Amino acid sequence: MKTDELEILVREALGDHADRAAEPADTIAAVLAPRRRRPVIAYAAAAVVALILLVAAPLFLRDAEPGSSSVGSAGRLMVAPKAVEFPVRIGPTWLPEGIKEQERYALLDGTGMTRSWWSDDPQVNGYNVNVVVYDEYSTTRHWLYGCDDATEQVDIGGKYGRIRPPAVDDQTTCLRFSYEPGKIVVVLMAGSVNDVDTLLRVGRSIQPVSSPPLVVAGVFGELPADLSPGFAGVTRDVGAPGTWLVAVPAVGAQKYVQVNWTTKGPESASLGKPKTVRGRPALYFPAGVRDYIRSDELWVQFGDHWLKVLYHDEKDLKGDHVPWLLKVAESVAVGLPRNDWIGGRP
Amino acid sequence: MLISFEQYVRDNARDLLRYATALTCDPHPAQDIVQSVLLRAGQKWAGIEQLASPAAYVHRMVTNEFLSWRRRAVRTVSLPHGVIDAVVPPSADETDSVDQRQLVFEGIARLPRKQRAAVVLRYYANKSFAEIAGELACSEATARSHISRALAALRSDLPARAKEAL
Repeated sequence: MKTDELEILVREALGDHADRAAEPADTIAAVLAPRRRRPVIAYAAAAVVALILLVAAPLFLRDAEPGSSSVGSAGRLMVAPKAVEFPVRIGPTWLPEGIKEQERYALLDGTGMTRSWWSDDPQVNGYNVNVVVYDEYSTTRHWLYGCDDATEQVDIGGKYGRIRPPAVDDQTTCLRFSYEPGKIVVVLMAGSVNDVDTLLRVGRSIQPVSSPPLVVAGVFGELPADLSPGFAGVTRDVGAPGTWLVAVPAVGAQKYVQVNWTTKGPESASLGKPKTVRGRPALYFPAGVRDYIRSDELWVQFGDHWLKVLYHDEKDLKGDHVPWLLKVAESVAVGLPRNDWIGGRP
Repeated sequence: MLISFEQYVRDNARDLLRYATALTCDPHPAQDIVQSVLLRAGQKWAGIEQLASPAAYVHRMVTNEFLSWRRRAVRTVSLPHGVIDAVVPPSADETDSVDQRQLVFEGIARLPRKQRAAVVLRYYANKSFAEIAGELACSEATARSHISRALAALRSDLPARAKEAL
């Protein structure tokens, strides 16, 4: 083939590719809408507004008709909202060898956070250490592990604490103590290796630390009326960082909606029922389709990222949750900001 | 004359999406790239609009985003033929020219991203070799090399009879 004839073919083929471009309306809306909505205030106040939006957005949106909310129309593309930082002020300064920080999640009202360390290698049996710090009078602390059944008294650097040693039916070990007035610390060891001496050493090492904050970018759009955003976090599960948001009821834990944004796709894609969400391919998995799928799930593909929406209702496991899965998936906005603490150690 | 960011977006979003789709061979990541670039451009528009050619600057941002895109990792693997067939079903017209065009269409999606970017800049955006070198941050000789190797790869995809006929 002569070069100029091949070049003509290439020009035509590139034109064919370009002809498949999406209509620009969604892109224009996604790019310009945030600018119009952004309040003209000092940047210092912007973070506060973002946090309020994170918590309160569903209060304004949940009663909207399906598909009619502004988030739904402007959010067909995944426009991550402004990131919110949750600072870390105290933490362990000693941990067993071989484990790295893999997960953090925070109560959205800023009253508590859980940090978790485990090995990078899933084949390695080892320590799994979790440190929870929360305000004693937090009204949402029940979403964090509390070690409330610890009874055995211990001394933590002059502070009164209680531990729960491993038992036959529960191999986890936990420690709970008051770091300072109004600030509770819980250390939980849940790995295949745990012992009270190590637990106490971790607990006694807790002091003020300088650690990068947890950074979360996510806003629910539509939610069931009895749920509101409760907590959010970032996790690295087998090397794939992801963001997750959870909407919870005011009381109880029998119902929740969880959203994950990650590069990990569904494990049993062939079992999913095809759907279309935001104009993109999606898969729906009803609860029970696999043993490990205990809630209805909807997975939406964005290039090599996946948006996973999970709807769980203990009292209505067999109910039709697809409409809400679709509404949540259509209206949520979530991203994965840089989190410099991932993989770190004290 | 200075142009507002809003006006720039309204006037150029379609062209940028077409360019990004030619680069990625997939409209979905193309949307993500253009959106990401425009959001960043909006944040520093006060500086961009002072440039001699804001459009050229944003165009280059799209190219750079495509080349450095983390999420490109999966897409650099060739698109499955089933995907391409679903978008452009095989034509009922069995002429050689249609076959060749389809083969080139698929072959472009399999090119390494730098070669693909060079080909798109040359044959879609009609840039000179010097302009391509500037946009890809390489020498003009390297730009020519990218295009030459890309054309060789596309030519090798064609059946022997087509190569002989042309």
